[in-house]
Amino acid sequence: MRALLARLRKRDRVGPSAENNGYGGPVSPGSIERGQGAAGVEVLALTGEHDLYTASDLQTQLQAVLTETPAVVVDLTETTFIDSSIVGVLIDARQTAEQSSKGFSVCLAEDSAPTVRRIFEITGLTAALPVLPDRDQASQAAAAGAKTAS
Amino acid sequence: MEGTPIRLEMPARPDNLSVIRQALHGVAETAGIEQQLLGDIQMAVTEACTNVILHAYEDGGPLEVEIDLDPEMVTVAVRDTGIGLSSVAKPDDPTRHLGLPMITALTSRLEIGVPKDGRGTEVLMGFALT
Repeated sequence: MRALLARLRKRDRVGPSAENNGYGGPVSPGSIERGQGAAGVEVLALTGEHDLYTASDLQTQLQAVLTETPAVVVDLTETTFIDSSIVGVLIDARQTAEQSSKGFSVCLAEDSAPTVRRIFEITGLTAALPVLPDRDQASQAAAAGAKTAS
Repeated sequence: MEGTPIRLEMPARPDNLSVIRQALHGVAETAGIEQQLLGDIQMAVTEACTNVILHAYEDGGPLEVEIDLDPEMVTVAVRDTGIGLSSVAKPDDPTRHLGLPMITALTSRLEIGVPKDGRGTEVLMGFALT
């Protein structure tokens, strides 16, 4: 069993696989990249798979961005898996943004991974969070949210 | 592969969640299970295992995943030897208790009980193949 776990973990570190179509494919390690979208809005782009293992890192980064800047977008375009712990972090971030008069939105494209779109459907997240289909629209919505709140 | 359960046992830690999904992918690929169903299985099993990691133990313990295939159903059992899913409330639980409703939505059959040896919790999830 130890050999199997070591082999699987090694494979996990190799990097995203071209086979992974975001619908129950092989594991792609999760990473969070910080960038900028339209109107100078900060963007946290999640690539690969995200679950309880990366949830606290996402929460820390979101809280930092919301402290430092007026608005943030979480871009799930290149995300291949999220679970309820990530959903919880997104809901928390939205609440923090509202309480601190900051803008917050999520980018989920039409061609985003089916498993990620499915969790939004199952949990009703699409109605609970501001979800936009591309990074520009999500950035504009977050910037507008910050202006409305201030 | 039908008829012979596949059993994985590992420490109940967040870094093992991707290992479990990878194992499910391997089993599904070998058995010819379609990608959409595999995605549902990976989501539900991740939620069940996350519940074990967050709530089963005060200070860590084993997590067992058993996968059983028959012509009509994929059955996955997630077991722990802890003190019950709702017994250990951790203040840093980020899931907002969405896990169980998600498992219910994703499965064709769901049973939560005590493993045969009488210790811990067993979450038995069935996924219809037809």
